Parts: sequence; C-alpha cells; structure tokens
Amino acid sequence: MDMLLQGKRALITGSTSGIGAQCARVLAAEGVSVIINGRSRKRADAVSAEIRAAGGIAEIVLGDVTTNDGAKSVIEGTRAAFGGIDILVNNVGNPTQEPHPSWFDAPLDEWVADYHQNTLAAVRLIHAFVPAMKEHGWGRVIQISSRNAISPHALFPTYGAAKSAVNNLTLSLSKELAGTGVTSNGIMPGLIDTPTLDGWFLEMAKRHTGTEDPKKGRDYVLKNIVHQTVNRLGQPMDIAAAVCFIASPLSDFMTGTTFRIDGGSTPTV
Amino acid sequence: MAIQPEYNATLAARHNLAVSLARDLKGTGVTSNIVSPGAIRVGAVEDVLATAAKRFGWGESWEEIERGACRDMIPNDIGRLARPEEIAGAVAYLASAYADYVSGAMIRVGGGLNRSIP
Repeated sequence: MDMLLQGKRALITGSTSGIGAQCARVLAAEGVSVIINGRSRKRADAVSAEIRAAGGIAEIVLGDVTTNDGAKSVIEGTRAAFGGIDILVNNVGNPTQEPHPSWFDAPLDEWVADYHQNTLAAVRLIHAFVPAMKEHGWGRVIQISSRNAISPHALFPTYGAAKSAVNNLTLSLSKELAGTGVTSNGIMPGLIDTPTLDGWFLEMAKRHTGTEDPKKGRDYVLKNIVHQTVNRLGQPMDIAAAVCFIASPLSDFMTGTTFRIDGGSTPTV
Repeated sequence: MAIQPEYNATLAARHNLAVSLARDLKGTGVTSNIVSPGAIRVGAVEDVLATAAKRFGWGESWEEIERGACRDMIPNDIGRLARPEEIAGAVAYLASAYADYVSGAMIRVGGGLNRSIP
C-alpha cells in the first residue's frame, strides 16, 4: 500500500531506541526524511546507520527536549538539517521515577518533573514547528501518550496525570488547527517491550521466578500483570505502524483523536 | 476548546490524579471523585457572554443572551446555563454516605454539553 509519504520530513523525539527508533525506521522506509533525536550519540549513530543502509534519509540532532535549552538546540538543529518538518512525533516521555509504595510518596517536584518531561516537551516543539505546517497547508502532530492517561496507576500517579494533559492538548490543538490541513492525534500504548524495561523484566524474574532470566520475567508479566486479551507483549512496531498511518495523507479525516494500542488491557469502552 | 489550552490540560491532569488517588485509597473508607461542570451562571461567565452577545447580536436582556449562547456557543439539552447550587448538589451527594460506593468517578453537571458517552 502506498502511504503517500514520499518526500515528507519528520522529527521523532526520543528516536535512538524503542518506540521512537521503530517509528523512524518505518517512516524512513516509506520515503520520509527523519531526524533521529535523543541523548546518546552511540545509539543515534546505530539507528541512523541502519536507516541509511536501507536506503533512507536520516539526520541526527541530539538534545534533551524536556528542557528549554535542550529543546531550543533540537529545534535549531532540525531547521538546519531540513528547513522545517511536516510530521512531528512527540515520543519522548516516561515516568521520571520508579513506582512508589503509595500515591502519597510521589513528591511535589516529581509532579512538576513529569509534567515537564511528558507534557511541556511536546508543547515546546508544537510551538516551534506547527505554525510553519499551517502555512504550508499540511502537517501532522502525533503524540505518543499512554494508557495511563485514562487508566492511571496509584503508584506512579504523576506520569498518568501528565499524559492525561497530553491527551487533552491533543484535542485542543486539533480545534485550533481546524481547516488548516494540519491534524493532531495521539496514541496510548499499553506495555511495550522496549530496552527501558529490561531492568524491570529482570527484577520480575528474580522476584517471581527465582531466576535471572529476563524471558521468564517477560512471561510472568504477560501472564500475571498486564491482563491483556492479546497473548503477547506489545512491540515497538505495534505503535510505529499506527504512527505511519496517522502520519500519512490517508488519515486526512482523522484529527483530535487519541486511541489505545494496548493489547486489550483497558477493560472499558 | 482551543481557548485556554494550558488551563484545560491541567484540568485533565487533575482528573487523572483524582482517579489514581482513588486507586490508592482502596479499603480506607476515603473516596476520590470528580464533578465536571459545564457553563455555570456566575459573574465572570455573565461578563464573558455579555461581551460575546455584542459580537454575535444575541440581544441585551439576560434571557436573550442565555438563549443565544445556548444556541451558538454552548449547545446543551437543558437550554440554559447551570446554577451554582446545581454543582453544589453533586458535591453534596459525593460528600455524603450515599456515595460510599462511588470511587474514581466523574459526574458531569453540564446540561448535556458533552455530546459523547465517555
């Protein structure tokens, strides 16, 4: 299927590994020139080399989009590389801390930090890049949110709240963009098997299976923790494929929507 | 709404934390819930709608302004703005023992302003 993406330009934040890297690979394979962003030169080099070897176009712009200065350098680097972008994938975002014993153990500064990391990081880049998309009459703003936005955990409440704000701004932005040809949509992933969870799977293996085998940890999580109706853990490609669709002109009639890709783990409508 | 997006985003975050708090309060006898009002007839809202009335030509009396606002700006099933005591009624219910089994829920007091189910 021709996704009609040839020649578009995309910035995917946090694309040196995991979901972001897979989004970059998939978009590049469809002819999108991609900016690889993150904080690790080594990981960025690996992802961009892979994309180029497959015939794609990838440029690296390192920087931390969760700070004003970091975001500024990423914005300037992206403009220097591509002039502007047509597709913004706000992928950066994770809980800033480990789960707490209770809701009340999350300190106030963690509430602020998670809002910076997960919500304001997206807002900075929207401010920087979307006005030009409007002028061109076409663009895509894609937020990678989380199912925690609608099914929050008590033990990392700061993250869910920040992602809920992301869902809300996705919709308010879509109303602002009415009639411009620029759409704003989001995806709420469930648990996705990425390198950031390697340590947790190992911990699950040690705690619940008496082994140090991460595969056993993954099996335990699938069977006992995620309560999905799909019988495997989510993979970055599950999210990247949806990002590819939302990025493409085939989704022109879709805006203001945030939908779940969570293996059926959210039990409500 | 596109107006005041930063304010609306924080309301979403507040709603979310009210639900995560409800999860943490399991078994304590303490509940956490949300009341979500629509447009309420208070001074600040009356001022906003009076200004809008001039722009949209709704009229000058409050009845004309309210009718115009509910037709053009805040269409709802009840055809008027909420009274503050109607929001307080929902709060009073959630504060009472009658709501002992209500946890992590949102009660909309919006006159049907929201047109979707969730």
